[in-house]
Parts: sequence; C-alpha cells; structure tokens
Amino acid sequence: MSLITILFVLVSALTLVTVVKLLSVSNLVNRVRGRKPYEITEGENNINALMCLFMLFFGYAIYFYFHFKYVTTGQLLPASASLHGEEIDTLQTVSFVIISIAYLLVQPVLWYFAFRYRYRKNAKAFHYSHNNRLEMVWTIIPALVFCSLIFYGLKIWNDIFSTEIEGEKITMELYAKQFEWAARYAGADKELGDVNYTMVSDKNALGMITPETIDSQLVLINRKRSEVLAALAAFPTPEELPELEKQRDRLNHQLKMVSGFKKKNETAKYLKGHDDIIIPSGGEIHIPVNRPIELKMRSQDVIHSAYLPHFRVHMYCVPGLATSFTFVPTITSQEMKAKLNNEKFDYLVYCNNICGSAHFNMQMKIVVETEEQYNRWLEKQQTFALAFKGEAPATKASPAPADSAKTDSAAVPAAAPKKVAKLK
Amino acid sequence: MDSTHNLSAENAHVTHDAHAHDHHEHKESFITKYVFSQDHKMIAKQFLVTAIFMAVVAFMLSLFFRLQLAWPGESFKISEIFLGKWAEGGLLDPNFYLSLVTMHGTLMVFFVLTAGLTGTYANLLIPLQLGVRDMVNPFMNMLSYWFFFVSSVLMIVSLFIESGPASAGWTIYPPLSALPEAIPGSGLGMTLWLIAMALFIISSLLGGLNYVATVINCRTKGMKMTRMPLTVWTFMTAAILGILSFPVLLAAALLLIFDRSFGTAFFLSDIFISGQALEQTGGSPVLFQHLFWFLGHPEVYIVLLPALGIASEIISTMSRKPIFGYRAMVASILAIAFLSFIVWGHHMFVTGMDPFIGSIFTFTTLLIAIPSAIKAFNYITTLWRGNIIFSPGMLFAIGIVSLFISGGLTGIILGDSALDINVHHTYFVVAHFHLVMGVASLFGIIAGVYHWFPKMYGRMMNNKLGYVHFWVTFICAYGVFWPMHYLGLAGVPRRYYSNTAFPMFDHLQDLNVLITIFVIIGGLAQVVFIFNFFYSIWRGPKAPQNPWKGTTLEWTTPVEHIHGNWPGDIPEVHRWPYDFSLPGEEEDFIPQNVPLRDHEKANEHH
Ligand code: HEM
Ligand SMILES: [Cu+2]
Ligand SMILES: [Cu+2]
Repeated sequence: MSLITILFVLVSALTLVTVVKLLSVSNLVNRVRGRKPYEITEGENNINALMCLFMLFFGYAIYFYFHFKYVTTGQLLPASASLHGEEIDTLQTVSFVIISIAYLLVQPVLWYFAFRYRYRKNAKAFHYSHNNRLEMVWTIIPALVFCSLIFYGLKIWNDIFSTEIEGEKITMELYAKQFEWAARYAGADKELGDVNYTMVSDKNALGMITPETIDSQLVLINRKRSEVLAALAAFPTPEELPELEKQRDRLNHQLKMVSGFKKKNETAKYLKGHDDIIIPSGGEIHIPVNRPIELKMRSQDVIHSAYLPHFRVHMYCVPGLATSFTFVPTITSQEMKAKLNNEKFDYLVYCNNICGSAHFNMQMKIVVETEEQYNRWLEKQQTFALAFKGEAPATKASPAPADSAKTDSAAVPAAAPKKVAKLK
Repeated sequence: MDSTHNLSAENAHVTHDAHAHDHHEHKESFITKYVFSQDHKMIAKQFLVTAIFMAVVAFMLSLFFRLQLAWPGESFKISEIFLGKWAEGGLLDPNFYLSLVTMHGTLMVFFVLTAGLTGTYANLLIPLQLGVRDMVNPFMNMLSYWFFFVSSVLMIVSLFIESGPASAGWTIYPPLSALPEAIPGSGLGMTLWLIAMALFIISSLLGGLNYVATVINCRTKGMKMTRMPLTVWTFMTAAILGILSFPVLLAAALLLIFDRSFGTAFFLSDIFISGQALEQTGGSPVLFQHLFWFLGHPEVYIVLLPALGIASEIISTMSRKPIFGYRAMVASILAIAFLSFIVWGHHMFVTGMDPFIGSIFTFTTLLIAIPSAIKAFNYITTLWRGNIIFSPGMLFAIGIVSLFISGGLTGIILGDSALDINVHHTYFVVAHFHLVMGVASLFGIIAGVYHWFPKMYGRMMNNKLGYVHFWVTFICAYGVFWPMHYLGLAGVPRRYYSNTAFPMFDHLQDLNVLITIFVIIGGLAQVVFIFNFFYSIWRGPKAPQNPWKGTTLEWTTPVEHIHGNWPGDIPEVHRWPYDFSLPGEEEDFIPQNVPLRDHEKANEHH
C-alpha cells in the first residue's frame, strides 16, 4: 500500500515537473518563431472546430445508445399498473418525443455552426444584430408547443387529483416512520378510527385512540413521568438536568393530551378504531385490482414520501398534515410477474424523501390480487381491538402468509367483525 | 506602476517595502492590498480563489459518495484516509453519506456558484465594464467578502466536528433538520450550517446592494442602460433576485433556529420520536418548503443568469459578431427573473399542496421555458456566419449553451405536474439540475476565468491546457449526468446510500459504475485547470491590453491594476458593446469608447 502511495506521489510530481518544463519550452519556441505564446493558431482553431463537429455526432451517439439500450428494451419502469398512470405514460411519451426532437435538431445546429463558421483568415463575420420576424417565430412556436403541453398536462393532473373515481373506494392508511412502513385498513365500518401521535406506544405503533388504548397509555405515561420526576428530585448533575427537564415537559404535554381524550369521553367516536386492521411494519399490503384505493398518508417523525413508481403514485407523508393519493391498480402482481417474466418481481412502496440513515432501505411489499383473493386475505387479518387485547404487540404480529394461511384460517377468526359488533 | 500583483504574495510584500518610497499616491500595506482590500478587482480575485477552494472540497465530497454508489459495500482506503471514523475500514457510514450529499450540494450551490459567479464577476466587471472607479461602497464590498470568508470557514469546520456536518440534504427540510434525534447531523452540524448560511446571506446582500446601486448610479458618461453589456444586465438582475429572495431564506433559517433551540413550533407538529411525543403542535413542515423554495428557485437563476451573461459576452466577442437580438436577450433576462419568483411550487407538487395551486405553478413554470428558448436560439444565431476563434473561454461558452439546451429540455418534463409525480426526487432531477444549473454555471465561472484572466492577473493562461481541460470536462459532464436520466426514469430515488436494497435496480448498477468512472476522469481534468490557473498567475506570458479584441471598457484599462482603474479620465461611451465586423470598417471591432463616425450618426439603431 505504502509503495503504491510513494509511486503515486512520484508519478504526480514527475508529471508536474514535465508539464512545467514543456510549458516553458513551448513558450520559448513561440518566442523564437516570433509568435505570441498565447496566440491561437489556425491549426489549433481547426482542431477545435473538428472537435465541435465530433460533438454533433457525440450528441446523437449518447442519445441513441442509451435509447436503444434502456428505453426500447424496457429496462426502465414497466408500463403503468394503474389507471391514471396510463394517462401519465402517454403524456410522458408525447413530451419525450417533443423534447427529443428539439434536442436532436438544436444541438447539432449549435455544433455545426461552431464548426462551419470557424475562423478563416480572410473571412469577415456577418454583422447581423437582430431580426424581429425570426425572433417572433422562435418565440411563438415554443410558446404554442408549451401551451399545448401545459393544457394536456393539466387535464391529466386534474383527472388525478380532482375527479371522483367511480367504483367502491377502499380507504386505507400508509404510515411512515423511521425507517419502516405500516398500513391500516378501515375494517368493517369502512372508516378509519381516530389516531393521535401522543397515543403511540410499543403496543400501539400507529397511535390509535380507543378506550383501551387511552387507559393503557395513561398508565404508561404516569409511570414514565414519576420516573423522571424522581430523577429530577434526586439532584441530577448539570449535564443531566436539561435532558430530564425536557422529558418532563414532554410527558406533561402528553399527559394533558391523553387525559383530554379520556375526559371528552366520546366513547362512540373512539370505537371506530376497533375494527381497523393494522399491517405492522414487515408485513405486506394487499389491494384488490380495479378498485379505487385511497391511500391516506401519515408520518410519525420526519417527512417521508410514499413512492410507488409502478403505479405512478407519489405523495409526501408529512407529520401533522393529512395527505392522500387515490389510484386504481390495473395489473395484479401475478400478471406483472408474468408480463416481466420475473418470478421475483414485487410491487413496492419506497421512501423518496430523505429521512435518515436507512432512508435507502425503507420499503414495503404491495400485493395486487383479485377481489376474491383480497377478501380471503382480509378475513384472516386480526382487528386492532383483538390484537391490542391479546397483548400481542401490534408491531410484532406478523400476518399469516397469504397462501399458507388457507389451511389454518381457523386460528385467526374470520369472525372478527362480529366481535367488534359485540363491543359496540 | 510596479507590477507587484504578478508576484507571489510574499515577494510582493518584500517588493513593496523596497519601493515604498517611490509610492506616495497610495500607501498600501500587504494587509490592505491583499487581505482587507477595498479594491473591487482584488475582492473579485479573493472570491474566485475561495470559490475554487470550495469547489475542490465539494468535488472531493462527491467523489466519496460516487465511489460508494458505484461499488457499494466495497472498501476504499482513500475514503478511510480522508473521512476517518466516518468510513471505518473504508466503508462509508450511511449517515455520513447523507452528510456528504448535503455538504456537496450546499457548497456547490452557494459557495462555489453563487459566490464564484457574482462574487467574482459582478465585482470585477461591473465597475470595469461600466466605466466606474470602484463600487459605490467599497467598504461594504470588502465586508461582503469577509462575511463570505467566515461563513466558508464555518462550513468547512462543520465537516470536522464529532457529530458530523449537516445531513438533511441541501434543502434542509424540517423536521429532519430540526431534530438531532432523527439524524446526528442535525445536532451541532446543523447549527453551524444555519449560522454559516446566515452569514452567507448577509454577505450576499452586502454585495448585491452594492452591485445594483453601482449599476444604477455610477455608469460613465454615455453608458445608457441599453448600452450595457449583457454581462452587467445579468449581474444586476441576479443581484436583484438575491436581494429579494435571500432574506426569505434568512427568515426560514431563523424560524428553524427557534424551532431547534427555543421550543417554538413553526415547522413542527405531531411528532413522536425516540419514544417521546414532542410538545410542538400546529407548525407546518410544508411552510418551510415554501420559504426555502421561494429562495431556492430564484437561486437557480442567481447562478445561471450570470453564466449566461458571460456566455453572451464571450460568444459575441469570439465569433466577431454582435450578440443576436440584444433587446430580446435583455427582455428574456427580465422575464426569467420575474417568472422565477412565481414558480417555486414546482418543487412541491407532491407535498400535499393543493392541486389547484399545483396547476398554477405548472403554468408559470412552462412559461419560463419561452424566454429560455429565445436565449438558446439567439446564441445559436450569433454563431451563424461568424468568424469563430476557439479560445478556451469560447469553448466553455458554447458548452454552456449545449448544457443549457439539454438540461432545459428535461425541465419541460419536471415542470409538468402530472409527469413530476413519477420523477420527483429521482435521479432524473439530479441529471436535470446538474446539466442546466450545476455544470452550466460552473462552466460560466471557468469561461470567465479563461476570458478575463488577463484582466485579473495581467497574464495569459495556456490555451493548449485549456483545450484539454474543456474537451475532457465537457465529455465527462455528459458522461456523468446523461446516464442519470435513465436511472431516474427507472425510478431510482436520489439520496439513497445504495440501491442494493431493491433488486429491481440491480441491472442498472453498471450505469452507476460508468458515471463514477467519468467523475474520476473529469476530476483529473480539473487538476489540469487548477495547475494552469496557478501556474499562469506567476509564470504565464504577459497579457496585452486587449487580447480578445473586445469592445467593452474593461479592455481600455491598463494591464497593470491601479486603484480607480483608469489612470486618466474615465472613457466616455458612444456606442453599444457589440459593434463587431461592421461592414465597411477596417477593423472587425469598434470599442465602446470610439465616437460615432458621421455616417453612423445618421442611422444609429441602438
Ligand atoms: C463534480 C461533479 C459532480 C458530481 C459527480 C455530482 C454528483 C452528484 C450526485 C450523484 C448527487 C446526488 C446524490 C444523491 O441524491 O444521492 C448530487 C447532488 C447534488 N449536487 Fe452534485 N455533482 C457534481 C457537481 C455539482 C455542481 C457543479 C453543483 C452545483 C450546482 C452540484 C450541486 C448539487 C446539488 C444541489 C445536489 C443536491 C444535494 C442534495 O440532494 O441535498 N453538483 N451531485
Ligand atoms: Cu423515509
Ligand atoms: Cu425551481
């Protein structure tokens, strides 16, 4: 290693010395020839002009090389697996055709002119300062092109975000935290239960508010709070003090919030969460094909972003802000595997907003399946009420794999919705 | 005049002492001449050298993360040597990867391009091209540099602290940037980042106010606004953009400081982190993004416009032709500047912002493409039927146009909200902004160095090394950033430590290797440039007064720098700056200070 270092230093030094020597020699030669050392000779100029001509081909070469290597061979994203995504794809193709034409026309003109109008001894440049008509032409043509693109694009944009999609919608939640995704289905009542970030605990990773979680959270907070207060009373060192005070203030705030839920005593409201189904991190999301899926996003800590490139879906998950994206998947996972001829293919949601050290590995699998498969899967999922009562921490419960579960479906009751009804 | 500025700093000191008695008109010590100088030419050079240093650092940072991206999991001795505990065993730490990306972006955008372009060229050229003895307020101008210097030092220092430099991306979105619990770089590193940026903004305002005031108040006789070179138009416009938008970033930074240190909740709400529920509620992280991009987008033009101005000047001079459509160029600059204030939302299409507002931003964004297109066509027409001399500066100027076209076109994809959904935050964005803003503006700095080196140092740079530098750099620029488009279209997100967690990216790994190889070759080409730069400062051949046969006033000043720029009266201006190759004239250029001939007076068209 050190030998290589020495060699490297030696070679660098040698190169430096050689270049310096060469420069002074070339300066000397120029002086002898009566040329100014910085003069650009016609020969040099012509070489650069030739390089410009070469750039013309270089521009084409990189365009077509990558085009045929990646675009036409389908190495990039496969065709959209969602309804609105098909529109996006068309718009994208149209836009790429337009900008490719512009690129393939304009770049060569630039390089060709540079080559063609290189310095010639007896030539004189053409004093041509403006031409209003010409300038109007190249203002108006791009303006027209851009305006059509704008209106085409905005139509699709409005379709995506402002047009109600027909069909019975499935509302679900994507929940982001460093560095995992979790998900939640609305359950039998088709409504997502209430949540609050002060309700988050190991057992209640998504911060659900139900009568049971409120009570257990109060116990937890009070215990932590008395620990902190005790530590504060025990003459902490000046270094520990600020941290303890911060914890105390945060716990006080949390206590106030959670007690608030208790006091409000809107029990009916807080029962909505009982039938919710939570897919903890590490699990997989199942959605039926051809049904509108409303993904509501929530984040626990920092901004994340739910990126589902195969569905052309992308939306930030912002703490304190409700965001959502509704889309209709059109291709099941099985169909996509067949289409791509890749058994290992999975739809994924991944995080696309810088969120910390494992940002690059924050993903969750999405399974698109037929309506029947989806329903069968859903029946096997445990409701939140049960999961919470069973003291099975929601974070660790792993959902039964979709296919193997067929046999032991009795283990997790398909009758879950009924139990919820009883609770009501 | 003795030519002390041609000698090395120490020599100059000695020489100066030796000559101290012959000089009565200005008693300058080493300190006032080279350090706390109030001379705009010296301040320009200070900005330039500092920016070059920062560019080297920023490039090195990108080298380390590029090594990681090309060969993830591979151990690199060089990373360990330079990064120490952040690359133990030569393996890059994922948190530090984000620090590298963040500091690379920050240094490049603010400390290299903003300071290197406006700091250098607005300082150098506004007084010289307008016929002014110095900036309106030379003292403020000096302060501008020293605020920048302290800010640079803080940024560099933050690279070496225990918990690591800022790492929430150069856009420092809270809550990530607000919570040390979320990422170590949001501790002291972020504090230093914010303080450094606050100082940077002060520097930028001090400079910007000076530039605008000088342009408006101090032009020499006959220098009507419509006779100003396009460089000055772009410097002035960029300075106005900075004056209007940097304070907004300062506000955002201050509010973020409050959130970080004093428990306020401007940008924080509903956060549960490391087992604790934070007290802050009611703030909006998205508000920060609005504030950030209210600067962030104009910032793109703060760096790009001066580069385009420099390109205009050089392309016109070296094609021996007037810039085509001067008035359209000025109008485009102003239109771009105005529009750049109402497009910021295109960075936020999928943040949960109201879709209707998204539509408005799409509309304004694609509008800005129109003046940009005009500029591109005007450059090309300027080349048409020229008599082109390929100086290194000229090559870089043509390179700017090429990059501006390539990068500008992909902006049409990104500006379209419906299309941005799927390419937002992917490598497509990285490819786009590097071509159109990053490399194009960097080329602006470099083109300016080659072109105005004789004005700055009284010597010429070596052309042959310049040619090698240009062609390798140019090909590498495309080699690095062109393939990134395809990564982006395949859905590869940016700011990923590695792509190995996703099997669907495996077949794209050779692209990442290709990119990194071009980065290394391109980096070596910069060694050639830096060598040429410093070698020529001391050993380059002496420059003539007007080496490129330019028409603008800076070429009427003596080669040796003097305080006040012109030894006698300031020249008066009689014509626009682009009287190249006028029919019937013997010389192919007529400087601005040459009075109109009788036949010209009759049909003056500018
Ligand atoms: C020297 C050659 C350069 C290389 C190889 C390079 C490479 C990269 C790459 C690969 C990224 C994305 C990293 C990621 O998202 O994970 C990046 C980010 C960035 N680069 Fe460069 N870059 C170079 C020069 C420049 C220049 C000249 C600028 C000036 C504008 C610049 C500004 C940025 C910015 C603003 C970011 C975003 C940082 C962030 O995500 O927070 N880069 N660079
Ligand atoms: Cu994330
Ligand atoms: Cu922008």
